Amino acid sequence: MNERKVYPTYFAAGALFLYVILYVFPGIIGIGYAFTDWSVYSKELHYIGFDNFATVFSSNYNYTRYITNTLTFTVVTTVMKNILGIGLALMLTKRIRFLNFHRAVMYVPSVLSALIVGMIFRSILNPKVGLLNVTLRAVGLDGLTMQWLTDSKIAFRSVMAVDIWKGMGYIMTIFIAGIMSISPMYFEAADIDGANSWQRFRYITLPMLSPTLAVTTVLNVIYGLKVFDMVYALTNGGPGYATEVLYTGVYKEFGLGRYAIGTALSSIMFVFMLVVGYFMIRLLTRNEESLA
Amino acid sequence: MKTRKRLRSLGVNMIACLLSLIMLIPIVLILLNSFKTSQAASDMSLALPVGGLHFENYTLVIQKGKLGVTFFNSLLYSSGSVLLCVILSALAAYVLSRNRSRLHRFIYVFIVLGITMPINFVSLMKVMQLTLLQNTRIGIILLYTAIQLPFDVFLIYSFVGKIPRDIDEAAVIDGCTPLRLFYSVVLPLLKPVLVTVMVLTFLNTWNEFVLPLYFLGSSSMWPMTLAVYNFFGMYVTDWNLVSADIVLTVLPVVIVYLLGQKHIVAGMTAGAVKS
Amino acid sequence: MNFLKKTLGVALTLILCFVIAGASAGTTITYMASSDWVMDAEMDLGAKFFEETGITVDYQIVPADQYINLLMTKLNAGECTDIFGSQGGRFDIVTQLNVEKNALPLSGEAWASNVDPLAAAELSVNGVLYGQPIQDVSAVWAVAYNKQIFSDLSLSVPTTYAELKTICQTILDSGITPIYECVSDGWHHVLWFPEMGVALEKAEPGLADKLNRNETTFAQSTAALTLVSQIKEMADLGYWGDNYMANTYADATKNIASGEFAMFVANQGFPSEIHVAYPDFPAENIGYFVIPLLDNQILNMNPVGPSRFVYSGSANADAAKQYLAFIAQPENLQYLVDNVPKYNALPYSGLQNRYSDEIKAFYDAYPVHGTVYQTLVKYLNPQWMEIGKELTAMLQGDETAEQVLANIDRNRADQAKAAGDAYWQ
Repeated sequence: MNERKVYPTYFAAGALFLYVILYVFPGIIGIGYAFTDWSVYSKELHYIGFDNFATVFSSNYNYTRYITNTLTFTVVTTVMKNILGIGLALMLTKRIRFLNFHRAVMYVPSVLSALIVGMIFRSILNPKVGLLNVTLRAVGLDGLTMQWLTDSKIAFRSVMAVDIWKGMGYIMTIFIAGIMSISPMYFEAADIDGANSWQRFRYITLPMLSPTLAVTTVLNVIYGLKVFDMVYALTNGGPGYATEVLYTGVYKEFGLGRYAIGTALSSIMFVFMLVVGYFMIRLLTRNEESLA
Repeated sequence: MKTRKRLRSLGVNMIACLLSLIMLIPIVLILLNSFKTSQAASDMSLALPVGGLHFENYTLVIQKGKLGVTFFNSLLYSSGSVLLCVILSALAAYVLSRNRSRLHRFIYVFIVLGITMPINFVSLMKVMQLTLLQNTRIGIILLYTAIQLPFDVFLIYSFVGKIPRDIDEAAVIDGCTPLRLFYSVVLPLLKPVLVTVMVLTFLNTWNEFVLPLYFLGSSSMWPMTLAVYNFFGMYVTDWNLVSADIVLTVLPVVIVYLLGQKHIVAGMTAGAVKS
Repeated sequence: MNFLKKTLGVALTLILCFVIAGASAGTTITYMASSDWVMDAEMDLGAKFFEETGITVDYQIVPADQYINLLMTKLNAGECTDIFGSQGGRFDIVTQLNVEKNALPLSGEAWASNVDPLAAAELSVNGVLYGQPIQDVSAVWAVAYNKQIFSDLSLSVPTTYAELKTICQTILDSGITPIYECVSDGWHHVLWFPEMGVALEKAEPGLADKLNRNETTFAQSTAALTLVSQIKEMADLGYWGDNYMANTYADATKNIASGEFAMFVANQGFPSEIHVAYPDFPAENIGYFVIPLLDNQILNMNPVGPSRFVYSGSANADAAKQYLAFIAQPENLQYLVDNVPKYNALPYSGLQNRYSDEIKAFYDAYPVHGTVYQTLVKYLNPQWMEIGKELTAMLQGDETAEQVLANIDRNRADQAKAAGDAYWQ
C-alpha cells in the first residue's frame, strides 16, 4: 500500500492553512513589533533592539510581578485541582447514592463561561452584602469575613479559589475515567493481602493514575499560563496591580496604546509557552508514539 | 463492623451532598434572584422571592438584552466552528496519524504546539483586516476554528491511532479512493471522538467573549455571552435583570452539556487517559 | 452517524439563512460609549431618530473600567464604531485620540456654532471642531453632603482640611460613615487628585506650565505629596468606611439616600438623581462645598467632558452626522436637560437650565475659579485609570505616596516620549 497516495498530505492543508494564517502568522509578526518603539503616539516605527525587554524586566515597572503572579497561579491551581480532583474522583467512584447526579453537578461549573462565573462571584464575594460574608456573619464567624476581592493581600487567593472551584470538576472527570480503567484484579489481590484503604490508594491507585496525572497536569499548566477570562472578570488585575497576570497585562498594554511593550510581553509568553508547551506535548504524546 | 461501614458510607454520602451543594449554590443564587424585584435583588441573598415570581424580568431582558439576535449569532458561530473544526481537524489528524512521514510528524507537532500559543490581538487584527475578515460573521467563525484546531487535531489524532489499519488496507484493495476511504470507512469509526470534539468546540465557542469584542464591530453580530457583558455594563444596579440574563445565556450551554455529558466524558477519556 | 449528519445539516442551513438575511438589512449606525454616558433619554431620542430617518442606532455600552482599553485598541487597529464616545481635552484629543486622523471635522455642521465656546475649545484642533459634548460640563466635582445629618450634628461646611477631618470624626462617632467612596469603578477615587489641581496651582503657581515643559515633576512638588497623603489619611482614619474598595458608583444614590453615608464627591446633577430614584429624599437635602484638601477654596472648573466623535473610517459617516445633528436640535437638547436627572444644563446656547437655588448658591459661594489638572496638564487624563491603580495600591499599603507620584511622572514621560513631544527629547 502506498501510504503517500492513500493518506495524501493535502488532507491536512485546510487545517494547516487556517492555523498558519490566523494563528501562527499574527504571533510571528507580533514578535517583530516587539523590537520597535511602536505605540499609539508614534508616527513612524524605529528599531530599538531589546529595549522593550529591558523595560519589562526593569524594577521600575510591575511587569515582573505579572510574571510571578502567572507562575504562582499556574502552580497553585494545578496542584489544588489535581489534589481535589483525585479526592472527588475517589469519592465518586464509591458506591454512593445519586452518583451520576453528583458527578454531573461537579462538572457543571466547568461548562459555564468564566465571564459569567466571574460576575456571579463578584456578587458573592462582595464584602458588605455578598453571600459569603453574610453567611459567615450569620453563623457568628465574623472574624473570618474578608474583603475577598478588594484586599490586595487576599484578592489573588480568592481569584485562584474561584478558578479551582470552576475547574476541579473537569479534572475530577478525567480522574474518574482513569480510576475506572484500573483493573479490579489489583484491588482484589490487595484485599487478599489485607491492605487498608490508604495502602490501596498509595500502592495501587496512585501509581496506576500517574499517566492520567501527567495529562491533567499538562492541561492545567497550559490553562494556568494562559489564564485571562477569570482574572479579567473577577478583578481586572486589581486592586492596584495585585492580581495582574501576563495575559491581562498584555491586554492592558494594548489598551494603553503601548503596543511594542504589549507585544514584547506577548513574545516572552510565546517563547516561554513554546518551550514549556514542547515538553508538555512530548509528555502527552509519549505513550502514543510507543504504541504506534 | 457492619455499623461502622454503614456510618462511613453515610458520612461519604453526606460529604458528597455537601460538596454538590457548594457547587450548586451560586447557580441557585442566580436563579432565585432572577425572579425578584430590583430592590429585593440588590443584596443578592438566598432569600426566596416575595410577592410572586417576577417573570417580567425575563421578558424585559429578552427585549433589552437583544437575546433573540444574539442567541442566533451564538448558535451560528458555535455550529459554524463546530462544522469546520470537525471536517478540517478530522481530515488532518487522519492523514497525519496514518502516514507518519517526517513531514507529517513535523506538521503534527507544529499544529499541536498551538494549544499553548497566546493570541496577539493587535497583529491579529491587522491580519483580519488584510484578509477582509474583520467585522464579518465568516471571519469570527474562521477565527474560532483556527484557535481550536490544535486541540481538536490532538484529540482525534490519538483516536485514529487506535483504529486498526487492516480496515484501510481492505478498502484500498477494494478500490477505494483516498477521499472515499476517509468518508465512508474511517469517518464513521471516528464518531465517538468527533462527538466529543463537537461538544467541546460548541461549549468553548459559546462561552468565549473576547474575540467578538475585538473582531466584530456591530452589536447586531455579537454572541450571547458578550451581550450579557454589555447588559451588565448598562444595568449594573439591577441584579434581577442581570441574573435573568445570565440564566438565559447559561441555559443552552447546560442543555448541550446534559445531552452530551456521556460523550464529553467518553471523549476526554479517549484523548486524555492512556490505557 | 445520524447525529453527526443532523448537526452538520442544521449548521449549514443556519449559515445560509444568515448569509441571506445579512444581505438585506437597512442602515444601522454603531455608537460605542462607556456606561453612564448614554442615558435612557438619549435612547428615546434614538428611537425617534429611527422613526424620522429609518436609521437604526446601535448603542454599545461597555463597562467603565474597560472602555478606554477597548476604544484605543479599536482606533489603533483602524476599526471603530461609526460614532465613539471619549473624553475631550485640547491636548488629549491630539496626543491620545489623534482626532485629525481618527475623527471627522464637525465645524461645518449647523449646530457647531451653538456649542459653548469654552467647551468647543477643548474639542477643537487648530480651530476645527471634532467633538460634540454629551454631558453637562458646567457642573463641578465637589463634596455633596446630607444637610440633615450636618444640622443634626450641628456641623458647618468646612473650609480647611483640618476642619474636614474634625467633621468626619464627629460623623463617624455618631455611627454614620462620613464619605462614600467607590474604588471598584476605578475612576471615581481619582477625582481627589487631578480635580485638586486648582489647589496645587495656588500652592505652587506655574506648576502646570512647568509640568508641561518637563521642567518639574509631581514627585518634586511638596503640595502634590501632601495632597496624595491626605487622600490616604482619610481612608486610613476610616472616613471612607470599610467597604470603599468594593463600593460602586452606581450604588451611590442608594447609600446617600439611606443616610448610611453623609458625603460623596459628586456633580450637581446628583441631588435630582437621588430624588428620582428615591422620591422620599428631597433634592434640597443635598448641599455642596468644594473639596477642601490642601485647604482648597477655589471652584474647580472643567470645560471638558465625554463627547461624541464621528469615526473617520466610518462607512456611514453621513448617517452618523445626521444623528449628531438630530441630537443637537434645540428641542432634543432641552429634552435631555429636562429628562436626565444629572444634567442641569448642556453646553449649547439657547437652552433653559435647571439650576436649583441651592446649586446657584453653591456656585456663588466660591467666586474664585480655577481649571482642573486633567485639562491643564498634558498626559494626565489619558492615564486616569492608571492613576486609579496607583492610588489603589497606595490605599492598600502596597505603594507609598512618593511612589505613586513617581509612577505618574514615569507614565507621563513614557507617553510624551512616544508622542515625540519636543520637551522630552
